[in-house]
Amino acid sequence: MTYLDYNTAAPLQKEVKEAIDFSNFGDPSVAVTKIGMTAKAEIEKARNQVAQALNVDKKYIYFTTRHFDSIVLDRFSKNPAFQATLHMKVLRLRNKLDAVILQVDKNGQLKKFNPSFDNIILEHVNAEIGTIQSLNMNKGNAKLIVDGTYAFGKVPVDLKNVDFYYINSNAFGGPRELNIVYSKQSIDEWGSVALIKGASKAMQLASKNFERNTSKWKKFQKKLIKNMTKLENVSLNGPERRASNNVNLRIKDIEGEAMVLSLDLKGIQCSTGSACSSKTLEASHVLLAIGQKPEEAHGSLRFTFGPETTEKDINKVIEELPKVIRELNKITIQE
Amino acid sequence: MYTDKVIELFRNPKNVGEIKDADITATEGNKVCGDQMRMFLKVKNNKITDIKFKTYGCAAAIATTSQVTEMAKGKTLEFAETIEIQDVAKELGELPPIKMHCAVLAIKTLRKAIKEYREKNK
Repeated sequence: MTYLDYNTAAPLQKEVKEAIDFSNFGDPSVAVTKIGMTAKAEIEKARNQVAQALNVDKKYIYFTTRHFDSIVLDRFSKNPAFQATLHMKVLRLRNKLDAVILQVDKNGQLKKFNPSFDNIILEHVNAEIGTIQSLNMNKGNAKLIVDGTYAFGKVPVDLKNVDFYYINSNAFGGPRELNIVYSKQSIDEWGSVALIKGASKAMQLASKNFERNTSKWKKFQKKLIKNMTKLENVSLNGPERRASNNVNLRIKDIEGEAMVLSLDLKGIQCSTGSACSSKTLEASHVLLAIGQKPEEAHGSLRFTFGPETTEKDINKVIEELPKVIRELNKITIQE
Repeated sequence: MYTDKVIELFRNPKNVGEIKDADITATEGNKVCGDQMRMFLKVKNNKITDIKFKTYGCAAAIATTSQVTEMAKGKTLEFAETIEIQDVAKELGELPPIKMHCAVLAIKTLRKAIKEYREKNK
């Protein structure tokens, strides 16, 4: 299997699976008992590991099973601004919270805005097109609330200017049920010792292997983009400068879900921003936000790499995607 | 999401192509929405003697257009007009509810072709 959809779901690495040991099922709040104390000690060890990986004080690190959107709703709902390319789960809160939408340019970068908000909610790296947002912005008196899920392990993370940073650990091969949060204000913690250990192990690995992973991904990214964009009617979606594990292509006149299925039948997994692939039958709001027309957004194909990705995987796409395009071009309406 | 029959028809769709001297060509849908279908018909003595299609769309769109053209081929215009969504869904095993609009569009395209043929040949 050539798995190139790490931004949707990532497999757990061997060391992470080994760290997820459910035999330690204690509750750290019952710290007077032996099992409670053991649980607490394990969690504090994990907290230290995460703090080291993020280069922050461990007192700001929390573990939670809550999702980013529910935390935003609960804690950062006052006078908020949302980056237009945030995950739909957050964007759909816009009416409820009367949020201002911060528009982006054709590369997905935030356009200049007046930071007259209480909460600025944005993403460090966009999952779809890999745009890297600088966090060293003028935030005025606002709190900077960041979804860093697709950033950690892919780009350097500096949290000096950030008030809240959320990471779903599956983005770097941890359990998807567990989220790691950097927060200047305390939040409630929740999560089993086993999953916390798994998430922190995944974070350690991502941190330790940062140079190795990103340098091979850069090579793969360059090779895939070079070989695919030389084909007729294939171009790059989004910015040239992006997270190194991301390639997002636009193929003219062919619908994305048809390409994803064709590739899947050849053993290659990737994803698309086409309407047909979404539950709401709407094209990717990210691609629309960067100025694409819906018919352009329907023809997108995203490949995202992980630690296990090899050059062989990239070569397989280079070999098979042109064939898929050729076959679907026989069926499609070209105008 | 898809049955084996839908996957098979997506991989090896029947009746793909164009008919240069078609008696009628009809298009429904648009690329803005993500689905567009075009059918080319040859009609003789009220029968659809040949039918081909081109489709811009997902696997369900391709499979349903292919299925509808298969069901209409060799049939009278009156019969072809009676092909319903349920008939298409039955032949395909099952279509996820979110993909039923593809079958609707395929039938709409065929019916448009038949209607325009009749108007042209009054």
